[in-house]
Amino acid sequence: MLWYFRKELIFLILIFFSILIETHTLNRRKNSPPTIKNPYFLNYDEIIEENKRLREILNLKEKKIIPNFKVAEVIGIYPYIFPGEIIINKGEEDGIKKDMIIFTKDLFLVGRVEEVERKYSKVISIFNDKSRISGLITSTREVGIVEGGYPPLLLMKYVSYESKVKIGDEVLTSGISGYYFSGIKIGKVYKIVKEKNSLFLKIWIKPYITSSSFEEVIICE
Amino acid sequence: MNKKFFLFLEEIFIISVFQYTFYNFLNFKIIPSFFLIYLLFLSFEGKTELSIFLSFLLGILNDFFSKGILGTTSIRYLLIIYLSSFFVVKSIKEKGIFTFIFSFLYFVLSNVGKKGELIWNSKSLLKYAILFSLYNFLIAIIIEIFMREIKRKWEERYF
Repeated sequence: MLWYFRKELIFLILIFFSILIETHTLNRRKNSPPTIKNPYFLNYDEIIEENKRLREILNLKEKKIIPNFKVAEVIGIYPYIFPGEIIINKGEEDGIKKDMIIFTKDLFLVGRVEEVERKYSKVISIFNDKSRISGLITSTREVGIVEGGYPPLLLMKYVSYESKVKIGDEVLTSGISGYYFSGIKIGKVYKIVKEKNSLFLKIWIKPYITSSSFEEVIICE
Repeated sequence: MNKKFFLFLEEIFIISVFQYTFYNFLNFKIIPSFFLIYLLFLSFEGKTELSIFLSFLLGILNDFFSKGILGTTSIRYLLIIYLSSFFVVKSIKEKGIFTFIFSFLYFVLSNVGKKGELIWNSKSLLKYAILFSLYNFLIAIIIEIFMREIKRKWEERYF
């Protein structure tokens, strides 16, 4: 009888092990500095690069650009291109709360914390289909809704058909929505579509995070 | 037995090198999954238990290469390979079509969040899923033609 269902049995056992490994990896990655067992495998270039990135983040604190923030390491991205969900190695134990804002070291908007676990948190990025941000076009001071879900671009809606917006204009958060404070850099206008029978423009935005690394991210309230 | 085992290891080594190269050295937005193609081929040939077992191992290896969370890809591979095990596929055309279908399913599966919602907009997802499946389809066809050619030459030489 069991032999007849061997395929299902192997499948279920391996699924169980995969889930165990996934949960274990998420818990283990929390605050685990890389341990060097064999110095011959040490990648100095990688360490120098990491050092440079961390120094830039430290500068933000020293120059009081952002007074209070936490730094986390990105431990998982889904999907691997234009990620919509990001897992960071800081959670409830580190004071992370739901709806905290996530930036790159260059202060480009990444997204906000969606779920907080004890040792790690899940972030929904601006590429996520659920992401809705109130954006401001700096040149015209017009406000619209920046929607995710269209990688590699973002879609800005509800900007008047008569708007003087141009390609290359910068888009920031407006601070009107509840999640994000104003002035966070989102991206630049990439394409403007004028549709007939519509009161609004369709503005495609190229987000800055595509050109910035987010191995380490900054979290703030 | 030993010879077969070493041949099998050799196959895994070659596809691992391909997959690693694509992940780390080529600046492609969408990367074909050599592991998935290999697993699907094994499954189509009727080696079900082996392909399910390898789904687990290659999934872990894939997460290691792509710097993802270990175990995540294993779950997706296992689900896809389990589904594909219900089909016996023989011809090149069928293999190509089924590789396309299962690659598409795999890509959609990898775009589902923990609560079952889609991470991307369905239009973008469709675009990239088709692109990913097309890559896998082409690679599957090339591999199949190449393998048949080798087999034909081998048979000509020894029989």
